Amino acid sequence: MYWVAFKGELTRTFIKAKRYGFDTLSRLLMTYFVFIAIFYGLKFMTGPTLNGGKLDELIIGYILWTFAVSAYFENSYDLAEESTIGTLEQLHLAPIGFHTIVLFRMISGYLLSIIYNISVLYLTMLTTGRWLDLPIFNFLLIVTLAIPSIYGIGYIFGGLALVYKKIESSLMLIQFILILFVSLPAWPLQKTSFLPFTAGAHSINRMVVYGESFPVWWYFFILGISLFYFFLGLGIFKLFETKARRLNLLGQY
Amino acid sequence: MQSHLKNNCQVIVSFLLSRPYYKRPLMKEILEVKHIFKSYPTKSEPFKALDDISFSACEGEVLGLLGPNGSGKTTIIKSIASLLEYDKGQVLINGFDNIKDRKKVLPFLGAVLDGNRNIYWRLSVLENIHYFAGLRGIDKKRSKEKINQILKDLMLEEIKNKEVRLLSRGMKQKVSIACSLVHAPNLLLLDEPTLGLDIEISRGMEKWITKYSKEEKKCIIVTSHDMDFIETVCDRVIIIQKGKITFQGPVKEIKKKYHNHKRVRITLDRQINESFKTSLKEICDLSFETVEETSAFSFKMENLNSLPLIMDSIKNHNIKLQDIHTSEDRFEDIFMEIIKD
Ligand SMILES: Nc1ncnc2c1ncn2[C@@H]1O[C@H](COP(=O)(O)OP(=O)(O)OP(=O)(O)O)[C@@H](O)[C@H]1O
Ligand SMILES: [Mg+2]
Repeated sequence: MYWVAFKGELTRTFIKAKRYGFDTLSRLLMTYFVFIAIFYGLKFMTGPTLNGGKLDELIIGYILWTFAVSAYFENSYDLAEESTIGTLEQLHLAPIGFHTIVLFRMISGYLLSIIYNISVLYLTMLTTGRWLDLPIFNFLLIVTLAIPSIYGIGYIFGGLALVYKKIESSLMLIQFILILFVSLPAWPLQKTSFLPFTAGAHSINRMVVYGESFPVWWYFFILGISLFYFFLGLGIFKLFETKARRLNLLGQY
Repeated sequence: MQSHLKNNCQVIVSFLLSRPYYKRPLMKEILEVKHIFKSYPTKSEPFKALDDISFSACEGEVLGLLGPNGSGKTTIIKSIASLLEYDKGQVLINGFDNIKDRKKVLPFLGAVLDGNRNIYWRLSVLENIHYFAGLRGIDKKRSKEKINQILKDLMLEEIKNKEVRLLSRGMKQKVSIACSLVHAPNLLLLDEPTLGLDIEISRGMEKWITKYSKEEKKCIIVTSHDMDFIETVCDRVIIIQKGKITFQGPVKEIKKKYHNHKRVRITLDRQINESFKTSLKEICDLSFETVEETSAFSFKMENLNSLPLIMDSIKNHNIKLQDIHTSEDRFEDIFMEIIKD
């Protein structure tokens, strides 16, 4: 039953990406151009003295930010949108449970964004001829451990949208806060390590740029922080959902 | 002789069926709504949207919820589907509490609220059906036959690969219904299924609802402002006003209870004047509906007993009768009468 539902969700995600072909394409192009801009623009601005490490760091930072932003929007924006149409109510009528569906949605969306981001990254490396030494397995592992924290934030805003409907501007604002989360230092353990996504993002940076490796407990730390924010967000979302159910706002426009 | 016998049998059977204690065991109760209350907070005192609503519904039955705008029909439907939280009371579906045993209830339940917005506009008809089937753990390959049957029943076959956003409102409405049918729910809730549909699609919907409830023994609850539709499809109706049930019973019974007026429209060869009208009023207590500029006038009366007298009066005035048309009160008129008082 769960598998069938998951397959259905995955299919829907991919069909939607196909149908919004123009949007999908412009998103990809935009990421691509930002990469190109970072490669060439920075070189131009800072001259030949720019050190390689700094540049790699920027690229990784940007790609992590793209992951975070798409994960965040995947959750909050979709929930916000669907609460203004009637589909959210239909999802609540499915016996596997609304929250399971949302979870499946996140996983599907995440798989899709891996495909997007990684292909754009390789495309950029191909065009510029500058190859990052990317340990892809480790990279994806850490992103996967850290990304639930972003979904947690998405939940909070999705919940707000359920009750207050029009919240687009605050949705946008968070994008910039995510830049902060992606770029702050976190290793070795310090205060900022406890921010959502920061530990994961910083570790990836260190790993790719400086070839650093981490003890196993650090991976668990990333996951722990990540799950903390995920469940915090989920809890807050549930509170808003209860309120929406009481005020009859699940499918009202 | 034979037809006489058959007639007799029919009379006996219908007599037996009309008796409540024979009727009850025949149909299984699927829905039981017990003393539901719901209010919304407002700045002053809370607004009572539902005020002690109780009713039940059986398999094979189509139950209509009627009432003016804002009377609480959608609120009732959503409470049954547990899409909103009611303050007090209980809803049992197939014997299970719809809040405490939600997981057990949902497989029996289908609901279409605001039909054309219940589905993903960017997916095609078939993709939508497959998606919602998938959410219920129904594999699209194994349920192919069933899905084809649904498409056929709702006349969606030709457009099954079209993107929903490209379809008309009526089509979208039908797609929504198709999506909530894949798991063959015992209890189907339809909130305004005929809203914005043309006559043809509306008639098709009527046929389909009757077929689905009677042949597959499903219970359907519909709301609508289209009284002809309600009269055609519903076995029983509930009238709701300001969150309270003010009437419930079979459509036939309502018609009987709220004395059926005859509506008579008479067309004469010349215009009627006041004196003629007064003389008509002397004959019996007519309530004139319209006295038009033309030579036609119509009025309501309880029976046709005094019609000959009117004819006489027309004759006495040397006026020629051109046309006479009688009709019964429509369900719509009766409904208006009920909600008036
Ligand atoms: N979210 C809400 N907050 C406050 N009041 C609400 C809310 N939703 C509905 N109401 C009120 O509850 C009452 C019943 O609404 P409901 O939608 O059930 O009416 P209805 O009978 O379906 O009307 P219609 O025929 O227009 O569809 C209305 O007066 C409405 O204003
Ligand atoms: Mg309504």
